[in-house]
Amino acid sequence: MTPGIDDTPVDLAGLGEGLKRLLCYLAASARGLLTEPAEYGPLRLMEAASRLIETMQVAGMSDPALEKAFHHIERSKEQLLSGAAGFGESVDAVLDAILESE
Amino acid sequence: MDVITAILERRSVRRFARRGVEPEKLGHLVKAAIWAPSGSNIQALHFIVVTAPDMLTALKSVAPGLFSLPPAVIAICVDRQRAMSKGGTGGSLLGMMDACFAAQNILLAAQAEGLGTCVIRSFHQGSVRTLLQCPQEVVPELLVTVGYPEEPLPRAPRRRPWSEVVHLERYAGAGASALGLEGGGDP
Ligand SMILES: Cc1cc2nc3c(=O)[nH]c(=O)nc-3n(C[C@H](O)[C@H](O)[C@H](O)COP(=O)(O)O)c2cc1C
Repeated sequence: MTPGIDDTPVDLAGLGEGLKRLLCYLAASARGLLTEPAEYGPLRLMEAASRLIETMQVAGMSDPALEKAFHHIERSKEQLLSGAAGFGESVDAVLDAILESE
Repeated sequence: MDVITAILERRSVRRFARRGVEPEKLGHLVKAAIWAPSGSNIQALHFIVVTAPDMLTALKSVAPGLFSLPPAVIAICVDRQRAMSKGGTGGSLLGMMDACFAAQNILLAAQAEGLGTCVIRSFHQGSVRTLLQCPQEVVPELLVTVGYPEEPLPRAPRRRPWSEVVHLERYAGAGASALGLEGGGDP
């Protein structure tokens, strides 16, 4: 364990495991996107972002800005999947959540 | 629950409650799948029921179309060798069609049991085959996630207006109103 945000211990083994799974996800997405509809590209990127935050949460590396970003990411995915408007705005809100915290 | 209610109320569920699915209910779903029609009765399907958390996590990592961790996944696999030997050169396609009919039976049986499901096709077939230790000729074609749905239930993605897609006698024949269908879009 290594100190992380606010001295919460970081689970490096868990982090490594999560990142390896994310690597598989990225490669599997790249393979699939060769034949899938173009709008799945943004969806896969947001899903990757969401999986990265989950990995950081499990490893004890999350913070309020990431939690807020996670909420906007989940909304963006739902918008894209249900055909509702607002995907672009939700993605902007993800960036705002992270940049405003700096 | 009658069939038409199950058809209209079924939605692709992508968020599940933490509660696991009773093994006998998963058994009912597989039984429903086995009793789906089969082209030339090739009977080339295999059903792999996955409930172990580490296996589900591994599947999720190679399935971009799987958005949350479900309590169970039923992998519908086609034995392509059997499909070709029983169904001729078109056997692979028949096997794929059989997999789709089996999947629909699972979705409707699950709906009747109060369970939510989602068909997943966006996954890396080779990696899923490796994880599930399928022999070379057995190919996973669809994954069906199964679990108790988390509230709120998803809204129905719209369908095209019936007047656009329903035809009577021939393509140019406006069919929807003649068949008593007005509107469309929502269930
Ligand atoms: C062949 C097939 C493949 C699908 N693949 C996926 C998938 O990989 N991931 C996913 O979340 N949904 C998948 N779906 C679900 C569709 O997105 C969904 O059925 C569609 O949006 C209509 O919504 P409904 O099922 O709630 O009526 C698939 C559906 C079918 C029939």
